[in-house]
Amino acid sequence: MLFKFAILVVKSLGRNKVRTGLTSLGVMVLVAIFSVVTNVTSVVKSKVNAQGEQTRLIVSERWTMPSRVPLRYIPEIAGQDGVADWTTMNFLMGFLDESRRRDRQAIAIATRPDNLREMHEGARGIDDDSYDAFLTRKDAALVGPGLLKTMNYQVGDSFTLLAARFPPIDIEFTIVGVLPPGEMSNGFFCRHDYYMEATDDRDAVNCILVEIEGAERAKELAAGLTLDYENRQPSLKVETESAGVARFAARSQAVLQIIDGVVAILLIDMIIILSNSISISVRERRVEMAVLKVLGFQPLHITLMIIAEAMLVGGVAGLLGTGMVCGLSQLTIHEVIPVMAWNKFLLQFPVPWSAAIWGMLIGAGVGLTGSVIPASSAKSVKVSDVFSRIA
Amino acid sequence: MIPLKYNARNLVVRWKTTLMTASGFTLVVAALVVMLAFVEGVQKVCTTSGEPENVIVLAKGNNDEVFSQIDTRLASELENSRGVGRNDAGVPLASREIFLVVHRRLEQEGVFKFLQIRGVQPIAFDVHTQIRIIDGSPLRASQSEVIIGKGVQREHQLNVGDEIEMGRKSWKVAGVFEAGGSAFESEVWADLPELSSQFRREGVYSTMVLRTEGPEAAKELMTQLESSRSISCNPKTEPEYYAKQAEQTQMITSAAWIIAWFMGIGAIFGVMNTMFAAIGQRRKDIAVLRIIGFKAHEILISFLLEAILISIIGGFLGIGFGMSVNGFSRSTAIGAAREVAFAFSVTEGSIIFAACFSLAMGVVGGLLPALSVVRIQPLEALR
Repeated sequence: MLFKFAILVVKSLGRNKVRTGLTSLGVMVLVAIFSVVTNVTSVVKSKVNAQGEQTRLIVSERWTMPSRVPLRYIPEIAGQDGVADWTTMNFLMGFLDESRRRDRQAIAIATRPDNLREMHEGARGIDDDSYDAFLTRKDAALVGPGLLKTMNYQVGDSFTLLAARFPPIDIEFTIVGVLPPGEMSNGFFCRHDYYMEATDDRDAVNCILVEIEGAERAKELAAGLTLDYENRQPSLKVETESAGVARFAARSQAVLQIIDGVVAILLIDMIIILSNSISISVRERRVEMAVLKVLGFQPLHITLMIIAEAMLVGGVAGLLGTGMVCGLSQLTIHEVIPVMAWNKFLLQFPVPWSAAIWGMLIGAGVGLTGSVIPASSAKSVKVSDVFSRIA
Repeated sequence: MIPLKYNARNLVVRWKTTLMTASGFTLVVAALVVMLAFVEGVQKVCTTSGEPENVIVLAKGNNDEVFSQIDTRLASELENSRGVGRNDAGVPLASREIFLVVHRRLEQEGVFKFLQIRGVQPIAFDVHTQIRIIDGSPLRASQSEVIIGKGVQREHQLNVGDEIEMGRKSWKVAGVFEAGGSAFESEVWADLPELSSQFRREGVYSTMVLRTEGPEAAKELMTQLESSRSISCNPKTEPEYYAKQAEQTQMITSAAWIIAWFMGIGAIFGVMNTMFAAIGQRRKDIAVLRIIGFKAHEILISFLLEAILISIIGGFLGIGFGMSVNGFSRSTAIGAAREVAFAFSVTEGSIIFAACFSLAMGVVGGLLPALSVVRIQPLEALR
């Protein structure tokens, strides 16, 4: 019974191939851009909303930005009860050539090399050889794939970061490995000891990242450290990693809200396209609905058939649209297609294959929402009315 | 030619389909207008910031005053450079400034928010002539007072007489200023020596702003400083500096266009569907039109016009909805660490762009169905 019903649905869709094709293409294109946009925002939001993982604390200067936390504070903080691991971070900003264009700008994080993979999410997937080279070579840089492609760098090349902030010292680095695609795609990691040596900035770091054993202890420690350092010069601000990210994300709230609005519009647009197409189809098939009723189909059967048609079109289009974006993302990451301005962001925000499933579900959901009104109009077709008109 | 009334009436008869197809256009155009209004708003703030007579000097290699540091020696040399204007008292019109981004804790919400503070001396008000106190009184030195820009007043909900906790002291809001809608309106201004001692910045400045006699003199001074062997710095005219800060909106503009194009393609498929359905339903009408003498290309144009009419209705409504954000104030991050208050700005250019975009969607979406009309055989269609 179910199989026959499925065949009926597929055959109904196959009857007007142009319409089914155009509707699918419309939904496909919109689901594709929807998945790209939501992928970017969800990366930001997942960082902000990492409520369950509040075991990381960011220690920075209480008042000013760029923050300067004295190095003398580190032993005191690292020695606190419950501190599992810690690292320092200095943010270097500079240009990769004398043109000093924005697309030649890079951000680097100078940090402790020995626990890089444990403390920095962006460095978790580095291969052992690259990591060993990073530990061995002082001027080593682990460079993001986006940056590598923009500058046409190779592993083993040396480059100079022309300082764009204080201290105004240009620093030379040697590329020892490539970072996995993700948040550090357009940046690189370098060693803090080398940074200190090159800039002679040996007194302070921008912030300290501390890993705490347990969320409860992290909360206690954050409050305790803030209080302990309140009257020190400089005083400190201790917050969870997600709170820190949220503070920065809040600065771009207007952009994020616009993106959320665009996402909503994309969804509504998809529903309109699908609903319009199904409505036209229902209007054209009133005789067919009447015949089905004569043959014993209940109004519920007809409703389900229309909804199933819409969900099938939406689901398949969603799967194809997101699948296309996932494929494009993977091809970009694996360098099958050259990295250019239009696809470079996929190195920073790679779309995982799991997104295809979400795409299918969203497509099917759009189909369900968009078909409610046409389906209810289809089920209320009056057999006598339809046949009297034909007669 | 087939009268346009024929198409208009057809759209009215199939009003549900027309409305749904047009609403697809409406949403795309509205989203485009809002995105462009955001970009225009931010760019407007940046282009109105700074005066062409002023040269802002940053430390060598620095492009952002948040990260720039100039020492006292360099500041003195810059102050005495040829071309720097003087006031009636003969004091060089050179403003030593500190620009800091501080974390202000909003006790009620329990969160930190960024506040941009500029430490200035009295001469700054002769250099930045756009600054005008609109409420309260001017800044008094060594009195732990600040004056706030209109944008800060709105974003942080501060008023004259309020206290702001910054560093180890409480600062009283003495006045509110406006600065011709520029980025300065998103700042708090405080007394330079007081701010320096509070945040351990004694003897260093973020920037020096030098006022010259006119835009030409400013350019000359900039060239002179750039080519100087004794002075190592990064000079820029103020408008140039703020225009550079707005560069990152280019990325948002590109993203807006990419999203709009994709949405547009979706809407094109939508209108194609509608038009193909309309043609399917009106095969007999088309046959009759051909038989009574209308040429194939006339019918093609007629159907194309129908698609364009839908796009005009949708585009018009979309522009209308998009315009509703005009003047709406928000703040956003620009440059490395700066935040500016801006108002969404729907310009004539954006409206023309959006209208053309809508029209293009209508033409592209209507063309293929309209071409299919040509293939209809009148007798076969009437059978």
